[in-house]
Parts: sequence; C-alpha cells; structure tokens
Amino acid sequence: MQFLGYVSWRLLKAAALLVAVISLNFLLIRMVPGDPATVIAGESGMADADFVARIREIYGLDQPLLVQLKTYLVNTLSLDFGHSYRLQTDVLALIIERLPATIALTGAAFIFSLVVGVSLGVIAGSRPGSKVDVAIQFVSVALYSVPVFWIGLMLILVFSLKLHWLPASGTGFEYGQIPGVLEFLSHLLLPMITLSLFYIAVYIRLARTSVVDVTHQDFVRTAKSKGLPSAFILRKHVLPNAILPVVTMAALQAGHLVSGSIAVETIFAWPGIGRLGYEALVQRDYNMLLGVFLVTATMVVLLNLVADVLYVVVDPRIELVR
Amino acid sequence: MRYFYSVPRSVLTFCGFNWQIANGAGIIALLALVAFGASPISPYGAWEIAGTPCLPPLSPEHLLGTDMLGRDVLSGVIYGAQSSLLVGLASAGAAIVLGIVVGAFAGYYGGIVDDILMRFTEFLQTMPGLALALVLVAVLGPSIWSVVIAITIVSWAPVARLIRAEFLSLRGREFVLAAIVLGQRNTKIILSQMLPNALGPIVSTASLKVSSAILTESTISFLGLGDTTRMSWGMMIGNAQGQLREAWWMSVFPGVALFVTILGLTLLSDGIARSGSARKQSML
Amino acid sequence: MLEIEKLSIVLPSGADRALAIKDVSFSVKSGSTLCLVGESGSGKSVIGQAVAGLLPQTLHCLKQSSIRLGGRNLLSLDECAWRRIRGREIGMVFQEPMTALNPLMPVGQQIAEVYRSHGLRLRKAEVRDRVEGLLERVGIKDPARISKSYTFRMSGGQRQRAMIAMAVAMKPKVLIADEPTTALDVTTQRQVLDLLADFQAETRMALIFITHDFGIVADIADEVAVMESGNLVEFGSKEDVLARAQHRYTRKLLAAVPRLHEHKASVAERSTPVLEVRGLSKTYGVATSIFRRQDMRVLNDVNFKVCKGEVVALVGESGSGKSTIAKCLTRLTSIDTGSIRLDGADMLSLKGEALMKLRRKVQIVFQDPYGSLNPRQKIVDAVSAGPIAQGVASREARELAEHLLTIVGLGRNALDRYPHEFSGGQRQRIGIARALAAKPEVLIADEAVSALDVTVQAQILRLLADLRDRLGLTMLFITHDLRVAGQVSDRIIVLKAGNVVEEGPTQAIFTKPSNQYTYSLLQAIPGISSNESALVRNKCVC
Repeated sequence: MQFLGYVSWRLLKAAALLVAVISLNFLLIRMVPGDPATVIAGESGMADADFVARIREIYGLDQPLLVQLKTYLVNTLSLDFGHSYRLQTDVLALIIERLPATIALTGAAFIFSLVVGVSLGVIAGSRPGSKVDVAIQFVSVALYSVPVFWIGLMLILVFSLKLHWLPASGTGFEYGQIPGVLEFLSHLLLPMITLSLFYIAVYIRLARTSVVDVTHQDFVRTAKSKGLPSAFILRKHVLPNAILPVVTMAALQAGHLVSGSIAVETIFAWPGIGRLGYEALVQRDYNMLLGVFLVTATMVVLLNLVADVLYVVVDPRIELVR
Repeated sequence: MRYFYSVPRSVLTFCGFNWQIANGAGIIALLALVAFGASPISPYGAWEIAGTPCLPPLSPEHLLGTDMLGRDVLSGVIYGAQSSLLVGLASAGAAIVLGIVVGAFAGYYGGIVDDILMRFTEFLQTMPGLALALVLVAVLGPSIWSVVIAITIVSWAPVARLIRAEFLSLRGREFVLAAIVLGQRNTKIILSQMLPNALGPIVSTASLKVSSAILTESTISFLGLGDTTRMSWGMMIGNAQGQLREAWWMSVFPGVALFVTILGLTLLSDGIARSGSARKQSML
Repeated sequence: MLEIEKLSIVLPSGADRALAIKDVSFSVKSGSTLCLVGESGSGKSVIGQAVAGLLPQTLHCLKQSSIRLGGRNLLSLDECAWRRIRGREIGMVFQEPMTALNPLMPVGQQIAEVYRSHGLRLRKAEVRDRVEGLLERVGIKDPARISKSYTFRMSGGQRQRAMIAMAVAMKPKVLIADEPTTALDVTTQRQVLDLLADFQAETRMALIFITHDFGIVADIADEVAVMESGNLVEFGSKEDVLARAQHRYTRKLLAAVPRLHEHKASVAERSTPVLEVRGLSKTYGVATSIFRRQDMRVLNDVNFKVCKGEVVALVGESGSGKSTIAKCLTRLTSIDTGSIRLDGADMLSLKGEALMKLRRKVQIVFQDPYGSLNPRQKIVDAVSAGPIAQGVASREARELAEHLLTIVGLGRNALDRYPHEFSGGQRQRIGIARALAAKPEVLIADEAVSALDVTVQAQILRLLADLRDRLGLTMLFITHDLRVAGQVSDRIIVLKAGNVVEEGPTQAIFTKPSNQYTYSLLQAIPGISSNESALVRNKCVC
C-alpha cells in the first residue's frame, strides 16, 4: 500500500513535470522574434494571409496569453503536436516513425556503457594504486575529454573510410528490405560506441570511487574479522553496496543519452528523432522541433520515474521517507 | 570583504602541487596565451584565403594544411581558441554565480523558498541539456551571446544544488549555530561563515563547467547553429565533415585542439578535487 | 594464552611519531579479561587491530615483534592462514555497530557467513536454527524476525548484540572488543558488559577490552594495561593499578576520572531565577511514509528554573530531549507550547531586533570541538563576532577577545591563528571564550566535554568551575554522563523521553534517588556496582 502510494505520488510529480515542459515549450515559441503565427507556419513561402489566419485561429493567437497557454496545453496533452508545414506531415506521426531507431541506439549505448564502465570501474577500484588502476583512470579521463562528434568522425575515418570494416551511415533498413541481424549490428556498432565513450568514462569514475569508498567502510573490516575470503567480501559485501548508487545514478542519466544522440545521429545519418530534431532546427521547422524536444523530455521524465521506483524496490533502506 | 581573499590562498595550500594540476594548468595557460596573442602568433588571418585549397599538412608555409577554400588550418585553430575561451569562461562564470546565489538562498532559508527553487532546478536538470541549449540558440538567434546564455541556462542548476547541499549541511554545523546564537546577521553568516566553507567543491566544479561549456559550444558550432562570424573549432570540424575522406586534416587538428583543451580542464578539476582532501567529487 | 612480545608498529612517514606502538609486551590468560586503557592516539586500538590481523596497509610490525596464540606466531602467517584464525580463534567487536554491519544484508545472513567461511557444512535449516539460537543467546527477543531484518531497522543495542553474536559464533579463544559500548547509552552499556562477562564464563575465552573508561575497568577487568602514546606504561592486576598505580600517567588518568560528590557548592545567592521554563512541549513531525506523518513528542510539559549563579545539570540518555531543550532555549528551533522567561522577559514573543538583543544573553558551548569553530575564520574573528554583532568597535572587540582568551587559559598569540592549529581541548576553550564574549546571562554547555579525553575533560570541567566562581556564571550543563553532572552541578534534572522524571540537589539525587529510572541510571554507571561503598565513602568511583 505504501509502495503504491509512493508510485502514485511519483506519477503525479512526473505529470507536473510534463506540464512544466509543455509550458516551457510554449514559452520558447513565444521567445522567437516576430509573429508567432508566421513562425509556426515555418517562415515558408506558402505562409499566405489565409494560412497564417488559420494558424492564428488554431492556436488562438488573438486570445490573451493564458488562454493561449491553455489551448496549447490541451492540444499537446491530447497528443496534437501540430503539423510540420515543411515536411507536410503530422509531427507526432513522423516522430513515432523515427522513435524506434533512437531507442535502439540509445538503449544499446546505455547498456554497453554501463557494462563496460562499471566493470572497468570495479576492476580499478578493487585494486587502487595498481598499474591497472592507473591505466583505467587514464582511459577514463581521456574518454571524458573527447568531443563526441569528433570521435565519431574519427571512427568513421579509420574504420569505414580507411579500413572499410564497418559502414559509416544509416541503419541498413534504408532500401525497404529487412536487413539481417548482423547487417543491422554492423551499422549500429560505430554510432553506439561513439555515444557510449563519454558515459563509459563517467561510469568508470562513479564505480571506481564507489568501490574505493565502500572498501574503506567499517562493515568490510567486520567481514574480514569474520575470516571471510577477500574475493567473497568483494562479491558479497563491497559490490552490492558500491554498485547500487552507480546504477541508480546511471538510470537517472539515461535520458540524457537521448540528447547526446543528436550529434551522433547527425554524423552517422541515423534516422532517429535526434536527426529529425536537427533537421527541424536547421530548417526552422518549429512545430517539429518542439515536438521532438517534448518527446525527448518526456522520455527523460519517464526514465527518471522508472529509476526512482526501481531504486525503492532494490534498496531495502529506503523507507519511503522523503 | 576579507573572506574573499582567504579563498584562493587556502586553495593553494590544500592543493599541494600534483602532476594533474601542473599539466592541466599548463595546458590552460597555453590556451590562454594562444587566445590572447592570436593575431601576433597566427601566420594568417582566421578567414584569409592564404594559399591553394586542400593542401595537406607539412606543406611549406602551411604546417597543418589548408581547407577547401584555401584558409590556413593552423590559423583557424589559433583563432578558434578565442571563441572557446570566451564562451567557456563567460558561461561557466555566469552559471556559477547564478548557481551560488540560488543555492545559497535555498540552502540557508530552507522552507518554501527552498522548495520552489529546488523544484525549478530539478525541472531544469530533467531537461535534456544539449537539446535545450540547441533550441534556445535557435530561438535566440545565432550569436555568440545567445550561445553563452543558452549554455548558462542549461548548466547552472547542478551548481545550485551542490551549493544548496553544502549550505544545508553547514546550516546544522555548530559554528553556524553559534553565530546565529551570537546574533550575527543573516547576510554576515552567509558571507563569512558559510560561503568560504562551501566554496571548496566549487573550485573543481568551476573547471569542469568551463570544459563542458566549451564542449557544448563546439557541438553547437559543429551542427552549424553557432555564431558563424567567429572562427571556432566546432565550426571548422563541421565544415570539413564532407571532406573527411579526401582531407582528414581539416577535421583532425581542430578536434585535437579541442580534446587537449578539455583534457587540461579535466585534469585540473580532477587534481583539485583529489587534493581537496577527502572530499569526494565526481565528474558530473 | 595470547602472548604479545616486543610488539612495535611503524607509522607511515610524516605521522606525528615514528612508532604507533613501541616495544609492547603482555599476555592474556584464558578466561580472563584484560582492559587496554588509554586516551585517543595512545595506540590501544592499533594493538587490537594487530592481534586480529586487521592492521591498515599503511602500518606494519617490526621484525622482532611477535603475537603468539597457542604457541604459533600470528605475525608470520600468510593471509590464507590468517583467514582461518579470524572469526574462529580470534573474534572482534567494534565500536560503532551501525557502520560495522553491512546495511544491505540481513543480519542473520551476516552471522551465517561465519559458519560457512569456516568450513561448516550445514543444511539451510540447521544454519537458521543456529543463527536464531545464537541471537537468542545474546539476548535478542524475537530472533526469527531480527535474523531477517536489515540493520537500519534495529536499535543500537540490538546491533551491538548481533555484532557480538557474529564474533562469538565460532566460540573463539580470544575476543577483542574495541570500545564496544562507547556508542551506547549507559543502561544498554551495562547489559552489553554483562553479556560479555556471561559469554566469557561459558567459553573461557580471553577478552581484550579496549576502553578509555576507568569505570568499566573497575567493573570487568582482571588485568589492566595502560597505554600512553604507543608505550605500555603500566601493567598489573586491577587492584594494583587502581589502588597503587606506579606510573605518573596512570595516576593522572585516575585523578581525571570524574568523582561523585566531590563537588563544592557555589557561593552565589540562589534566590533570583534567571531562566524560567514553563510547560515546554515540542513535537517533531516524522514522515513515516509519503502521506503519513507521525508526531514524535520530544518534550512533554517540561518545567524548571535556573537561579542566578547556579549550575544545573540536565541529564538523560539519547532521545531524552535534553539537546532539544538547548535548541529551544537558544531559539534555534521553534516550540509548540510553553514559555521561556529570561530575567522575567518572555523570550518567545520577541521578534527581529529585540530577539537579537535577548538571544545574545543565552550562549551555548557545543559538543564537537572540531565542528564548533569555522575552519576558515581566525580565532580573533570567532571570539569577537558576538561583541561586533552587538555593535562594539572592532578594536575594542579585539581587546575583549584577547582578555577572554587569557581567562580561558590561552595566550594572546592564539588570536591570529586558525582553528586547525589547536587541539580539541584548546578549541573547547575557544568555544567557551566565544560564548563568554557575548556577556551571557546563562551559559548552556551541551555535552561540552563528552568528546574529550578524560584528562582534557577534567581540565575543561575545572575551567568551568573556575569561571563560575570568578564570574558568577549561571550555567545549564547538559550531559548524558551522571558522573560529570555530579562533579559540576548544584542541582540535577533527570529527563526521560521528554519528561522530567526527577529534580533535586545533586547530593540528594546521588544518595537517595526517589525515581526508579534515576536509580537504574545510577546503577548503570560503570564502576559503581562493583564498589557500592564508594557511594557512601564519597570517594572516587573506581
């Protein structure tokens, strides 16, 4: 019962956040210099007087600001994200079409970076000061400092253009036929690694610090005083305590991978919503842009929600006290 | 205002001088030198068509080659340092000041002030940062100041939360309680008792903020949304993207400059955090 | 049975001395208890760690050292052999039961691990029965439930009992207990000491009990080893050491132990009440879940008076509300009902400037000598902060600060230094000077000597007594330690769970307590039960 209470409270919070995001969207579009109606219409040549008037009516742009906000909220919440006048298509429909590619990319990158990062972090943290530790830390600092878009280009340069090992762009789905799993994976590999590198660095750091901290805690000494073997202590006492906060932290950040995928999708011509957003940005297609932004933010909110609830399930210490 | 002077000195005393700080500071000093002395150092102007297009590196007169318009890559890299440094320092500085003010208010006064401010920062932190920055730049128009504003908006919230957490824990510390009981005024308590003790973690965060600001700026420029009137590393890489196969040097060298700069700042921040005694500081 | 010979342990370079332990030799017989006594930094815990093979990697033993258990030199063992000894032949109990147990593993499982790691092949049900039996043996009432519990759901006493269960699971020959009762309330401490004695009688194990408290020594020791900065300065039977201490340092330590009834009453007049507390109540809302808040009553209709020149001690165990009273009196927290009058003026109705003026009249000295001074503020700024806030010119405030620092026993050269240059006791003096600088009507000492070593504690208590005589200070002395209260106070107020259960002159409380709880508190004072006559003879407890 308590748990359900927590979940519903957390759901309410997520809903409030979403309303805030939509309001921010509304605010952003008002910030664009010029007449919002023409802005929404996409500053395109077809923005004739009739058309602009229709937009004005749909969005209630002649109404007071608060009424406009309400209209916008209602429209958005009823999943009416508007129309992309550049691409001549419904915004939401196109986003939904592109979403799976982004989820595949970010999901793969998340799991890959978490597994690699945490493993390396644990290896380094369980033997602090050793050569392995120093080497892993060095890798972490280097990965942390590499600009994502640049390393993406460098990987393309080396593995696609020079060595011809892996394809440089697309998903393999392009020509209408369903590619084999291997074909898809070979397309996925480079963008996934590119997107992962930064997060691998972050997770190495988090995991290493966490393991080192936990190793110095009193209960590890107690375990030792009981005569437990050190490998057993690491596995049963150190790791559960060390990894729990790292995974929570990672889950909370998972949403930000979506934001990081903008540059990666652009470089690798990956047909996800990151690239869609980028194109909208360049073409000043504001409805599309805000739609993508909204979906991205929603994903972040939902992932945070899942992470919070999972944390309560996993950690017995959480007494549901705020 | 004496307490403000005591900060840098104490930072120096607890730093020791480890190799991370030495290397990091060295790299940053070099960057500053190049940025400030761009015009005397640089062989050509940033936009000057200086030779035949697409000359490879180690060509006579063009150490790092030329780009597709015949501009000198080395000169571009040198002038690019200016944008990076400007955006990095300006937006990190603004974000830190804003973060300190908001965090200090929330942490000291607590209650409803804290609730409202913290819900707001939480909201900002939920936003996908880079995406929001890109949208903001698109909305504000492509100038270097809109880039600075956008980066500031997406990066001050973590600073505020950090300072708030510091203030919250300081708020219960006995020397702060003693100051309250002695009848010191709130502003005096914040400035002389709490702020000097909360700044430790800020020092290493500051360096990290500069590096993430530079990264964000370069990503914005790379995507072609930045200030196109200023030479920047991200823009150079973005422009050269199409020539990756034929002319790798156009995108490799600005990227190396970017990488080394961020590396320097990361090392600096890491070194400071590490020498800042037992304080744990993640790179986030 | 356990023989330590020429044990020397090297500290890493850069420490304040070269050797943590210098040439220490002693032995413990099976079935007997050795108390290892010393102040912080004396190296007593390091010996414990060395015997259990748990020395931190930065420390190592010199070659000629040996620790022999049943004829074998433990120091020559490799990690694998050590592992078979730890937990089976040598058990260890630590000071802080909260941090010494894994927060993410049920307690029963942590105990079961001991069996498994020492090669006992048992079936699941057998393990469960053993664990529950053991928990019951250490006095846990609902072993089946506690066995499945995580530590955060247990009380401090239960955690320490579970810790002991873990340490004695394999019936070790030697048990090392490193200040196992320091984090516990006196009544719980008493129970834990009894439990250890009980186990010892049953298994004939040798007990090395590390402590700073001579009261405990008097209660449980057979032999006493006194450590001073790495040296063993005195070793002998309890009777010899307590009655006929040879070494100067041992005598100093013994002299510093607070004595009951050695108090001389203050000379000041005691008729005008300075501070009057009436019907003080406070509840904290504690969130038990997101939606439910439970009110926790921490103070329940508390009434008392403090007269001019009087020292009143507020005594209680943790959770009694004594520190909340200090917070209420200094207006650091709000109260629900009741009134606090200072010199007849109602403190609670004041706001803004008037509150600022009045609140300065109640000053407080805190427990933690390290937390109570701003690490980035010079001493002079700390001490003169009060006067400056009252509008005194900074030059005058500096002179006042200098004067007060001399009064509390520090020189004028302390003025321009930073807190980290001072020891714990010196910092506590600075804290007192800072409070006095505000010219308070009432000085509250909130556990002001609890974090200090006994010798330093004695000095600070002497300073406070001295200040009371010289300055006619009115003091509210908050402590968990009845012995300390007995030494400084004219009157004692005993608190239990937010209620005043007894109040009276110090002498009367000690000789004929009227309340059962006060009586049990008195009985639980270490050193008292073993030497009942001390009460009558008005002498040192030990």
